Amino acid sequence: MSTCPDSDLFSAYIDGEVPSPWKEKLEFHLSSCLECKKRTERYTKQHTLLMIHNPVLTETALEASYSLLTAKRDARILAREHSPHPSYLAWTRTSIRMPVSAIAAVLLVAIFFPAYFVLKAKSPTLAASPQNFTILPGESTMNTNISQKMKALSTSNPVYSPDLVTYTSTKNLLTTNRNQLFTIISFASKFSSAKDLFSDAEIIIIKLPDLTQFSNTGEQLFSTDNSLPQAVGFYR
Amino acid sequence: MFEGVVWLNAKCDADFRKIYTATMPVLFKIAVRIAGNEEAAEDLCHDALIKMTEKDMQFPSPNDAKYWLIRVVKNASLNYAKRKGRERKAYERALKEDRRVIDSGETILLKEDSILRVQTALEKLPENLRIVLQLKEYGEMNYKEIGRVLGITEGNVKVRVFRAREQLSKLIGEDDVYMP
Repeated sequence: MSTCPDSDLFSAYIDGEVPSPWKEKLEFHLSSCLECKKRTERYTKQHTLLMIHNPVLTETALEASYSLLTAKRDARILAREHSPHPSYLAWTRTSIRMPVSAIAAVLLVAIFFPAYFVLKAKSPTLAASPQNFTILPGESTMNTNISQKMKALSTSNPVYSPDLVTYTSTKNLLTTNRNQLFTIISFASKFSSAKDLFSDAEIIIIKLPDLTQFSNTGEQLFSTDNSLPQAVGFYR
Repeated sequence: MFEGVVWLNAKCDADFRKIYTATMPVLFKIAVRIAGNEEAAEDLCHDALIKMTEKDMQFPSPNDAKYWLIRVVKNASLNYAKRKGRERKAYERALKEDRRVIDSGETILLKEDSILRVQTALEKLPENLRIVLQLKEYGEMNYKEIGRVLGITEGNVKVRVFRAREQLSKLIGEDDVYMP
């Protein structure tokens, strides 16, 4: 059994695709091996069955078909020459087949993503967190309630620890009559041991060095920009 | 490579006629077998020939024209068969019955029955195996030519023909086939 040639050789053999020296060897093997003979017969049988009822065009049918073909061809060429749409614009009229998943992906990329970011930028709920606020001096209409959770440092317990009780304080950041500007002033006066330090202070302006213009000489550490004091009425 | 060869020009009427005579019978056979419909097959062949003219194709020999045309006809016929298959399936679903059940009563000869069985089994083969066998049996081409039409090697054609035949045997159930 193990001496049988590859079975695909017999398939090629009945198609006449095995060249001469091998062909004779195969034939010799077929005369002795029943298994391979059966296989070859099976292939031949299939071939015969497939070839029955093979449709053939008769001479007359061939001629008739040719005249039909030339008529069709000439009509097509004529139609092309007199077509209102030039051939170089043909791509504008072609339709593209696209699977549903591809359409979904295109919609997602082209519409939903930009829409999400636009809405996010516009919506106050989606917008910046409460910590990121800016105080615009002189803008009297700004009246925002800021709710902040703070770890309380009290006089009895001056050491900071993450376990400290959390206080929530709500403050009007900037009212219309500018009574309060920074919540930190209230906090400072509330928790300071020196009670008189903030007693008559209305506004404390803490000016931080302008580190963007840092230089060796230190001249420019404090900028001469007085817009904030002016805005809150420091200079009258 | 093609020096001194008289090129066949698809736009020239005489050459067109020459190509037609040389290729139409085999094109028709292949198209009928793949598309399963003689009228449609004729149309598909005509379309391929017209396409050849429209594209202004030029071939060094009738055989080259044949390979090109067979490729076009083969693809068009496969598309046609797929479309038809989809339509038939939709139709069957609508009627809730299988139209393809074959009446294997005594009126039908055993020989006819086995021919039908080989044909239906052939339809069930995967496309890459079926097309090779169809080109072999109906296109009357050798392995080299089939490889050229399909863009695969001769060895690959040989293997595919063999696998197609083996699968056919399995599908038919080899012992039942009546041998005329």
